Amino acid sequence: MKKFWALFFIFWPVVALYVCWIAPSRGWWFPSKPMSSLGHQIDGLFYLILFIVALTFIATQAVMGYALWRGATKKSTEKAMFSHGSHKLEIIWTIVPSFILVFISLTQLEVLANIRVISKFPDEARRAPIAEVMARQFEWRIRYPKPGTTLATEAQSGDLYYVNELHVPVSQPVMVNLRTQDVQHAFFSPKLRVKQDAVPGLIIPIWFEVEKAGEYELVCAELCGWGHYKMKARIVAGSEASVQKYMTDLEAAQNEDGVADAPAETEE
Amino acid sequence: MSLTPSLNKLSWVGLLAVFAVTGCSNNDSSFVYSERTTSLMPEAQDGIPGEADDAPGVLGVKQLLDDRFGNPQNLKAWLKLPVDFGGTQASVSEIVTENDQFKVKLAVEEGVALPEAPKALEFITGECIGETIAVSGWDAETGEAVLASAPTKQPMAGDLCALDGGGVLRSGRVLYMRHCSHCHGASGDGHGPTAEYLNPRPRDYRHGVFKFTSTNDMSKVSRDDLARVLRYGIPGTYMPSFLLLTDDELHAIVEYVRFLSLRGEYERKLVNELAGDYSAKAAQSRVADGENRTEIVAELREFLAADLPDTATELGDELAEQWSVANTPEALIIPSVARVPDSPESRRRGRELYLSKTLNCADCHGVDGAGNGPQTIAFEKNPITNEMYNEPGLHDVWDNLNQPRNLQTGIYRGGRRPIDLFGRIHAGIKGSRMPSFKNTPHEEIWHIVNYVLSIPFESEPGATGVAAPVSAPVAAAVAP
Amino acid sequence: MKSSNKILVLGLLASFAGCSEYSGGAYVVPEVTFVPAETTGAAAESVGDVADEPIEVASPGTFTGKVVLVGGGAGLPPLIAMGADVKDKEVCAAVDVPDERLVVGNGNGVANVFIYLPKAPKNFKSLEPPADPFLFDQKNCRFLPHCVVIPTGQTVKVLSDDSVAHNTHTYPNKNQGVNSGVAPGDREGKLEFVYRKSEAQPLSVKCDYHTWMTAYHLPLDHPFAAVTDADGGFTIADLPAGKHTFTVWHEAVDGNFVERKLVVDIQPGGETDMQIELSADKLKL
Repeated sequence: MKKFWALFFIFWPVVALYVCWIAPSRGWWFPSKPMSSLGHQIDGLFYLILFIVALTFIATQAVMGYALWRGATKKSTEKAMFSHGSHKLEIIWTIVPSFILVFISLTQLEVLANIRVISKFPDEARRAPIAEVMARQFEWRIRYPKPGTTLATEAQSGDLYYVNELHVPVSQPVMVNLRTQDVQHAFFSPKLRVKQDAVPGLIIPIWFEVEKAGEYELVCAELCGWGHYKMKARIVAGSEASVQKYMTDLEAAQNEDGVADAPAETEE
Repeated sequence: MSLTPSLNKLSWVGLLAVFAVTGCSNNDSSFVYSERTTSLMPEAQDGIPGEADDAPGVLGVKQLLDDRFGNPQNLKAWLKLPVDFGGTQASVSEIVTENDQFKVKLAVEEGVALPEAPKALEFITGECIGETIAVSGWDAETGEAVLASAPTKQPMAGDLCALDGGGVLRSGRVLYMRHCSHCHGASGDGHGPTAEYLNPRPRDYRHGVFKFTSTNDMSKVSRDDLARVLRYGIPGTYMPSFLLLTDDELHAIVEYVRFLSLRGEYERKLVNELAGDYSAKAAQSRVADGENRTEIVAELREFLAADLPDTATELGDELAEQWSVANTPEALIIPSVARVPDSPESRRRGRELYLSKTLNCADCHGVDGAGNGPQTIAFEKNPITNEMYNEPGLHDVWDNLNQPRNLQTGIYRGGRRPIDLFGRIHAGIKGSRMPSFKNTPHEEIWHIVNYVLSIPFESEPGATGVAAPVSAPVAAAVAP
Repeated sequence: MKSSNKILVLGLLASFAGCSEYSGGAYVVPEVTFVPAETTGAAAESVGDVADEPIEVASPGTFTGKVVLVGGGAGLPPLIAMGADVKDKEVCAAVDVPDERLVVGNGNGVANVFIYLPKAPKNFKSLEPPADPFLFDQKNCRFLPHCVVIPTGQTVKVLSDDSVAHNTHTYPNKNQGVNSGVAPGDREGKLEFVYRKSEAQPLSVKCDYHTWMTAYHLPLDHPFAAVTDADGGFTIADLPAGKHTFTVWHEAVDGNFVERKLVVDIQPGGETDMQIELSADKLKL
């Protein structure tokens, strides 16, 4: 009976290891392949930690398995051995993990800087933010600059407004200015691996580069009230031409004057 | 080892009972009756049971309403209403019973398409009223349905029926309860659980009035307007955007909102017929004036039996007409001239008109558009009840404080397109104190629109063109 | 397992029966039953005919009289004195604006009292509404007339004799309300509207710019109504002979009804004269 239980508790860690081995290739690990350039770097960090943790897991489970098996197969006449601890062992299993942790923290600094440090944002993104994303209970209000102008902090006459749908060009770095109108929210796009808290009073720039055209979910990741669960938007990544067309159409719609075929002009 | 502290057997039984009973809660929702309905005499609300041959039983307002609209678990789709309940309406043209199969040939009205693969047939009139039977075979060309089982009674030619009826209403109800009812309430009365924390309050649909429409001042809201509000939300308020719902879901919610609004309006109109003479207060004052309560009840019985049914039909027809016309192009506001191009001259002209005595926008919206005109601090009376409001300022038809818009913020609740602003000025804002200025030349309205759109970007308040006039000293509240 | 443990576990399991979140309440998929458009619903059997006296084809009579204020009370001082400091005072305080809530004339006669049949008499053939529009004017921030009966179907044109903007905001019960601006000095009456239905009680008409401005309109589909003149007198002619029940309504009375049911017996070809008393203690000013 003891052998059965020993094998039972050795079996499951083996299964866990197997699942861990096959999970990434089957897409069980992440929501999808990363769809942005930063996403690859972030995923790399996750895999690094997974690797380290897996090694540690193998080591600890092997020790446990050995102890179980030895206990199961031993004759029951042997006396128990009492230990007062081993100072050496304790030093080892404190220093080794701390080295590992320091290693991880140093390794990820580069990626963190790429995400957060504004001077490391790609120039083209930093110069021309594509939109201001104003998080609001419980929707995302988007303000694009008037076509042909740069986004200003204050709303400008001619700025284009939309809600819950952000259009970005694909395959180029873009930056959005994240703000919130009321409480804390968080700009989180799982497939793009972008996540940034929106803090009241701050304008926080976020950059990302979408690699593949398509629609991506944007959800709120900071509990902001009863509607937090449904505070969703779409990020639509398309070619430069399609984004231009979208802006033109948006401008025309925003200037609609209800007269069917009259041209709608705005002239300063 | 025991997991539990020692307790005697009796308290265990008690605890078990508590655990079991928490499962038996009634979570059914119900439509509320408006305050005006519940202030009627009880006989008017609940009806009067029959007593003799010359005193027949009559139904009260509540029953009339329930018969036509049902309750949220059992909705009634009243075909008079211009609501898309889902499915196809048809009438029986022929019944064939051959080889054990019960076949029904259906005819639809002109312009209505036969469905591709209906699953169920419900009889609406005739002997089999209320029966729903699965459709096992269907010929889309001829409109012949083979029913899975024969109906219990015999249908006749001319009976009305519905194929897959009620789908839109059903999904509308489920979606509405999930997304809308916590603010707007299960009956659309604007009194959901979260409503008390919101300013401005969520819309009470039961007046049949919606503020932000593209229709003229005498028309109801159109389906497009409601869908627009759902899609883009109302900035500056708690109404969020539901852009991510599919078109079908949005359509279902719009139809359910119209259903609730029609219910509220029908209730209101029915009660209007009765409130003058048969409200509880009126009954009280009539008795105080010397009338006999039994006589009042007899009079009410007569009224409910003889007069109200015809009036109710008329009211239903009226509502149906108003709500369908709102969706036609005739109801839309279409400017007669294209928008005057935005220019400093146009804005200056707009400001002139804004300040002019003809339109006097500044009276409510303030000299610089800050929404602080002199109207906003005067006390006024509710024009219907003649009671003074508690707070100073303007009030809307929902009795909420209705401050004139601060035009300096650049937040436009009804939409920021030029046509939206044109509509606000031309048709006013229904239910609120913003009047319609439909007799102002359209070109002048465009000048004002250009000015209003430029107000948030003025270098300083009132900087556009014309110098602000010296404001008249504010009148002390003149209580009428 | 100890029995108390068993009970605890059972109890916990039973409590999950309370998790009916997805089996009831807000997420219920409702049943939908269709109701045909012409549903009878209300009337059970129709009652026998009305208890009013049968209308004989006799010559019509006239109902005249006077509404008098009894028990004290008098007319009110002007609402706005000339030169007072009110909005648009050059126009609205150019002259004294009377307080029309209670206007008392000779012999304590009360003006602006509505006397009307709430419903057209049986067998009454409705008349065509007048082709000419009814002109509803305003001058010195005062609606003219203050109280009026308007036939349903007649176009109402709103005029303005003031050099300031006004708006006309009506608050009807059964008709559609109107809320529209009126340009200064509009003598043509660009704003027009129609009352399509009879109202049970007069509806108020207000101006949102000058909130003290009030008027009362009573749309009716029959001509058997009158508004008392400055001395409280009224005449309603061509009434079918027989008993009629009139409503007497005044804006300053508590509950608005001077008399809910004033039964008047009209003699064929004759004149029925009546003095209606409005007691001062019923006033709510």
